[in-house]
Parts: sequence; C-alpha cells; structure tokens
Amino acid sequence: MLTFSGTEIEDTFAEAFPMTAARLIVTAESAKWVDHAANAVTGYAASVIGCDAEAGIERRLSPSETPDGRPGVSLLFFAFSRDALQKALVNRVGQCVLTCATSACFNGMPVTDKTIRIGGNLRFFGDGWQISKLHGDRRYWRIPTMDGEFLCEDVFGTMKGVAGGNFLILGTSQSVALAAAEVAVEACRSVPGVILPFPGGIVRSGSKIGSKYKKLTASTNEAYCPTLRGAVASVLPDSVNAVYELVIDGVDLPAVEEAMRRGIRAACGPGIVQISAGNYGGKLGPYHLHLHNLLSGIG
Amino acid sequence: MLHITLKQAPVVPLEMDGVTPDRLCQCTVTDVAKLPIFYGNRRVELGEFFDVSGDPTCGEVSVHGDCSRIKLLGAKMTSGRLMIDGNAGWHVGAGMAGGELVIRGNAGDWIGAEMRGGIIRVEGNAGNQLGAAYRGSWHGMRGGVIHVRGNVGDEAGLLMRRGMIVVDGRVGDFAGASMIAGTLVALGGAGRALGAGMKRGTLLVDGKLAELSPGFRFSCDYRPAYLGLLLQELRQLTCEPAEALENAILRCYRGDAVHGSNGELWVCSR
Repeated sequence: MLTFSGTEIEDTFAEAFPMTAARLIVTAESAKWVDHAANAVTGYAASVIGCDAEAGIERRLSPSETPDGRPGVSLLFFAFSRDALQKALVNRVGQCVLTCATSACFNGMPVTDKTIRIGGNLRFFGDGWQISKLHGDRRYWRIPTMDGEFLCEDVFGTMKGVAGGNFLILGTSQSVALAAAEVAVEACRSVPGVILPFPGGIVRSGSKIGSKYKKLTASTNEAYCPTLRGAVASVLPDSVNAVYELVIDGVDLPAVEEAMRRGIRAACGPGIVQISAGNYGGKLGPYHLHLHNLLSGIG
Repeated sequence: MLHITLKQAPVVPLEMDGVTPDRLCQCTVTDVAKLPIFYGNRRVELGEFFDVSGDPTCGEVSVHGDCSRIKLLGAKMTSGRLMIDGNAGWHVGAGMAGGELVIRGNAGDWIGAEMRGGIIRVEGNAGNQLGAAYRGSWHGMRGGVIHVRGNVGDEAGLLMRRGMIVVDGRVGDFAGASMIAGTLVALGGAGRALGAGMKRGTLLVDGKLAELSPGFRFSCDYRPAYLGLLLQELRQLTCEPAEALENAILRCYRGDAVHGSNGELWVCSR
C-alpha cells in the first residue's frame, strides 16, 4: 500500500482525454476590469457535459507580460473540436469581453494551421467602422465602442490539450476535506498550462455516466456519496464523511501529470484517509494517469 | 559579412538595383565584383567603383563610403541584412519584400517606395516620398516597417496601403496623403495637408501640427486600446520619443471627409 503523509494512495488511475485548447490573453485598464472580464468569459464553463466549453484562469499577467502593456490574465478554454471551440469563444468573447469596459483580447498560443477566428467574426459588430491593423503576420481588429474601442486579435491558435485529469480527496469530515482540497487547488494552479474549471477548482458532485432517467447522460456517483453509505454499494472507507474532486485540464499531458502530482502531495495529511481517482474502466480516454506511477518515489 | 567599399565618389549617380544580400549570397567575391551596374547611362562592373571583400554567402552585406549618389541599393531585396555605413541615395529599399536594411547616415528620396515587407532603419534624415507610391501607381508601401530617427521630407506614405512608417522627427507636407491603410507615426510634428484625401489608416502626430486638413473633423479625446500595442512595437524599434506617449490622451480627428471619414488622425494633446 502506497501512503504519503499518512494518507493512502489508492492503486487506481484517472482517465483523461484529448480536447482542443485555446489560450486567450485578456487585458484592461486595471486589474479590477481584467477580473470582471475574466470571470464573465470563463463563467458557466465547468464541464462539457453541460457547457459549451471548459474554461478557467491560468494565471494573472503583469503589464510587462501582455501585448498592450496593461494588466491582463491568461485564460484557457477547452472543447471537443475546433468548430465547437470557435463557436463557444465567439459567443463568450462577444458577450463577456467585448462588452466589458476598457477590455482587449489577444491570442496566447502559437498560430499554426489549426486556428479559430474570433476577432475576424466579432469585427462585424463594428458595422463597417471596424479597423484592421496588421503587425507582422498578426491581424488585429479595432471595433468602435461607446468607451473607445475593443481590440481583438483576428485568429487564435489552438492545440490538442488534455482534459479530465482528476483525483478524489477522501476526508474524515467536510471541513477537513475542503481545507485539503483548497490547498491542493493552489498547488495545482502553480503549474503553468493548467486550469481547474470548476467553482474554486473543486467539484463536490462527482458523476458517473448515465442515469436511471433516460434523458440524463450523467448523474451523481452514489458510490462516493457518504450519505448513501448503507443504501448503495459504497466504495468509501468507514471513516470517510466527505469527498471532493479536483478536475484538471491542461495544454499537454506533462502539465496535467505535474498538476496532479503537486495537488495530491499537497492534499495528503491528517484527516485525509485516501486519495483516489475517477475513471470509466479505461473506455473513455486514451490517457490513464496512474496515481502510484505519478507519485512513485515519494511514498 | 560581405564588405563593399566605395573607391571614389561617382560624378553622376550609380544605379545598383539587384545588389541585394539575397542575390549576392549565391555569388563569389569575384562574381560580385563583376556584377553589372549603371554609371549614368553606361554599363560598368561593380568592381570598377567598389572594393569587394569578405564572405558573400552569409546574407549580410555592408556598404562603406558616401553612397548619396548611389541609387536603388537594396531595391527589391527579399531577405538578409544590408547595412549602408554612411549616407544613401534615392530609391534605397524600393519594392523591398523582406530582410533588414540599415542606413547609418541620411537618405535620399523614395526610400522604401512601394515596399512590401521587411524593415528599413534610417539613422539620419530621409528625403521626400518615403514609402510612397511612384507616380501613376495605385499603391504606395504595402507592408513592412520604415523607421527614421531624423526628419523626413514631403509626401511620406503617399498612397500607403499597409505597413508602418515611424519618424522620430518631423514629417513634411502631404504626409499620408491619399493613404489607403496602414499606420504613420510622426513624433516631431508634421507639415501641411497631413492625410489629405486619405481613405483609411491611422496617422499619429506628437509635436506641432502645421495645420489641420480641411476634410478632418474632431471626434473625441481618448486613449485607444490599440495605442498600447503600437507602443510595444515602437519600443521594439527602440523609438525613444514614443515613451512620451505612455500615458497620453490623444485628440482624435476623422477624415478625409471626401472619402467617408474612415481615416483617423491622432494628435497627442499633452
């Protein structure tokens, strides 16, 4: 049995799958308006089970790190295809960034042949008054707005990312498990190129595929619900009274692996009985992230 | 690097079109010395006026001496680096499509005329028709960047279609006239008829503006989001006077009214 800081690491794996990823750099006149834009555009983007994309804040950017020298934020978005990602981002940037005071939006990924057009679609909002600016081989659109102009890059690069990295924190109480999860979220977020798309980076409603109700594609994972122990075939050890899950999407597999590694290490400790992971028997995704392999050498 | 050194100043202009790093890199030193150039209306070998030494294959060429009577240096170059270690004559970098051209001294007229790409840096002043369209042509500069640290003459950016012209000093009369698109930055003021007849594009002026063209109307005072992006690019060009625009509010005019007022003139109102 592998343990770390007194916490058992279950011999199981997280199952991750490829998704198309894009990185947006959103800037504004102040950090306050950057936050408004970032929170709005990454809202309602927890899981592609019910949202058009999975999204989150990768990291805050200082003025020296942004294309226009203003405060900014790096955002990652994931969807099942480039078409789906373009549709989601044109809607999201159009409704949440274009509308946000003083904002601008730039591509944060290398432009290859696999691109999506965001500014090039949003420019029509300018109703003919939009202005194109070409800097090197990158085109920007300036769209007149009531506070000046919205600046948005024409095309954005995409890449094949990895979504669905995850682990479960099984604690003796809700407060202990939540505290451990919060620490783990911070550790995961220290890795460049990853996001945790759920509220606060934490999921309390782990799901299984399907439901007794035919219309539902996903439903609560009763085997991990402490309140159903005794009524269903629970997998929870006796002392466990709360479980939280961290879901991690990243620009590549090493980033997701490193985030899981740091998160698990941070979560382990007193009151955390076990670390587990969610999978679908290996049938869903090609990436199997075995917890023991991730943590080998630290047990 | 290949060194081409002027032996004697020509009495009438030399025309050196075709002497570009991308073409010379396929030659030997002997081949370069035998390249045909025009001395007035007489065809001569390059070696008659220049000493040639160094390695032509590396794509870097340095021309030494006062080249103010030498035309078309670097015209239509597509890659590599050409450095003129002194003054340069007319049409230098005209039709250029790529690479870097540096003029250490002053430059003549038609520098970068109708260029399509690459970058031209002029350490001194430049003459008239910088990045302009030739007479009878529909389009001037169509891409790339020209940066002049000194002043430039009249008709800079005439019929400019794309790209960017940055002048640390003053631009003369009719800068950006009939401009179709692109960006022209003049950080030491501008002469008369700035942007006259422009269709689209952006003119940014810091310093004294001789007069506002009659087809321009005031729109607002603001700080464009695009200015941040532009300043980052100017920083990459090491354009020091642009730092004064860091927190500037710009007075924006739209024009020319005869072409729908799609062009914009920004005047720094510090």
